[in-house]
Amino acid sequence: MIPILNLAFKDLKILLRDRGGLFFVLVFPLIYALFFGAIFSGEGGQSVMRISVIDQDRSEASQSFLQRLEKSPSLSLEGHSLAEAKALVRRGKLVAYCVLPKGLGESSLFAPSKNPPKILLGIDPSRKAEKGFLQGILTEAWFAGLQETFMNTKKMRAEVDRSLKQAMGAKNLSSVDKARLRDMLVSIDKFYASWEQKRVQVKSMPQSGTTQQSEKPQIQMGPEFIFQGIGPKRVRPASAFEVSFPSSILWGMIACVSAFALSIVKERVRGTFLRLEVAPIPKGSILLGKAFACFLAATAVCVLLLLFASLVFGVRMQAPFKLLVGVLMTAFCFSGIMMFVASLGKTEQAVAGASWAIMIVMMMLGGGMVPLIAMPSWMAQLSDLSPVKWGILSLEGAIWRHFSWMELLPFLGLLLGVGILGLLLGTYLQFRGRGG
Amino acid sequence: MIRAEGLTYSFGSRRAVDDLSLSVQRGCCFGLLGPNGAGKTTTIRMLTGTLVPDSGRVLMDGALDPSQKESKRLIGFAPQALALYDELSARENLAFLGRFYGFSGGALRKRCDEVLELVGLRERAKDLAGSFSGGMKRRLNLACALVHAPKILFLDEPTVGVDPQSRNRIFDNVKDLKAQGMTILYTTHYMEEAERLCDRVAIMDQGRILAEGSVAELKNSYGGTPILRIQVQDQEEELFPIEDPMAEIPRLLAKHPDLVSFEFDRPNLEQVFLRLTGRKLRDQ
Repeated sequence: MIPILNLAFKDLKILLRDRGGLFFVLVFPLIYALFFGAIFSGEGGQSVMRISVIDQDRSEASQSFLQRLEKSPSLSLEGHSLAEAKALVRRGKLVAYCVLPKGLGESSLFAPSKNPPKILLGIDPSRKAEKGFLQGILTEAWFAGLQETFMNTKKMRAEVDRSLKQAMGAKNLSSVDKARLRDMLVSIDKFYASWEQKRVQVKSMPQSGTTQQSEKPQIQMGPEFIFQGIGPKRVRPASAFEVSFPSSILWGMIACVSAFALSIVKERVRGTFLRLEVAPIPKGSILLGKAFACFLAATAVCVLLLLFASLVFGVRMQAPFKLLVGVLMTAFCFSGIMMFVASLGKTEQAVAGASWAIMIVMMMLGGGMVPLIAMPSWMAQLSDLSPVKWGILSLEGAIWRHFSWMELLPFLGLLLGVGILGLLLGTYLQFRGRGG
Repeated sequence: MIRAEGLTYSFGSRRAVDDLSLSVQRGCCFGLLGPNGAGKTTTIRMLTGTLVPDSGRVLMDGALDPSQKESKRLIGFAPQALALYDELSARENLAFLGRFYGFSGGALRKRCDEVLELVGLRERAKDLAGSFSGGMKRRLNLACALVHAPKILFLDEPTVGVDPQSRNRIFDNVKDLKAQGMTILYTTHYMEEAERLCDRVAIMDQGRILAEGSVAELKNSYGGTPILRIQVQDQEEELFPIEDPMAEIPRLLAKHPDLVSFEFDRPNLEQVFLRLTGRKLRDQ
């Protein structure tokens, strides 16, 4: 064990004196975490969509629609002329523009019209996700207005009256249709008249008990949506930093892989490996010392970044013991991968190239570059193969995902397995052909 | 102290060392002299146990296999490459290696100081090895091989790329170590080094030992007769092979009263190599 510790501490000392190596192992991951944490910080990590609304109607209905849109936390409304708005959307400065056409407020609820007013939405066709999201918000705001109308007896009776006049004057309706529509509208008007009368009576009654609550009839228009959190507590990250720091830790780990894989090949090229082979230590311990140094460096990077995240950004450590196990398993896995990567070439250039090629693909698939939640389905499936994803999930599982041991176990097992495989395969490949 | 029997090693289809046998006595400085690519480094790697021979065997101190832990404690090895950590200081390089041999604490510090003093780097102990000149790195490379006070020292081309000052320092170090009774195996392609330092020399080429003996024995056996060059006034230079130059001088002066100059070309290892291989030691 002493030779392994001696070798490991020597490598850590060298790493600490190598400013370039230290930058990629510790500083770059920190910058990554801060940068992406800052970009995605805010409510649930979602950004606010900037849209421009051009109100050509300027009616009570359009103004009230605008007010409802302004309440949406996902939108930031701006006022521009139509030409300006188009130019801004084209340049990508705005997500979309929305035109509320003239006559929007005059359109009636019940009278059919040949040319109903159309709300125009201008958006870059490539913004598919935003388009769907925006459509949902606009529809929600519009139907909230309708619900308000249906709940207001005065407004509703006025609307029925307006619709009745429009229907009776419509040229595209047959007399039979007009009669049916009139019967329906009259029935609706009677319903709202009786409802209004009841409310007047309730108001005039002496106040007692729960009668106040019955002033507003308990009517729900359409289904009510209830959003229920899955898990014992809140399962969303408290901030974007709870997502960006686990990813940044994995960047630190791949930097460790690259740094230590290169240090192995450097030792071979310099001749220090040969000198160590002459020393009275088991040959395996030379490589184990490297792996141990990589493990210690990777663990230290994890601990330092998590401490920083916790102290500065309040990142929660929901399950510290699970987090510790996750950190150790991830560091072990990447130490094994380092050993394998070091066996892929005989020169520094070959190993550097191989290590970055492998690591970048792992990061890309594993969610180190594109967040797991933003991946298309095919990529999300492929990401299951990347140790980066196992590492991120084992860390996030203990930070904010509230994973149980059963949920964590597959990832921890995979990390352990790949670590052992990498150590064995890497050691075998490096000693093969070196004359035992 | 070192005994090799029938060592053979091939890199793929190329045979680097071919049925090589040698024996180095305790306290002897044994030189392996040969051009680049002769198989000296491969031989040294088999002798130090870092390369397993395809056939043959090596015995250290009578019976030990060089890959055994006990024999490794006996061995100090200065590879041809500068096997140093540039990011560590001279003392840190030595201390790192010393710990593998059981040194620690005050004993380790003392031993590091001793070897640094020996190679003349005591004043630069705290400087990073990366900041050293080529000659200083060579001396530190030697110090690293000596940190655990080995009984057998393998020096693989220890003066390659070294300035004259450092070269002389290394020569002095080797002489001192020899005087202390250390067994040294020294590979080089500089015949002057072999002549100056080695008690016995093996001439090596294409993986084989062509001749072995003391420098004098090799010269006598393969160097040929000394040549006398004389320059008589108004005549061309003449060459005469002579057996005993000292006896020849009076006769020479009597025969040529108008002698301008004379010179003896004694046989050297270069000539020995030339006679054995038909090629020169360098310029290969």
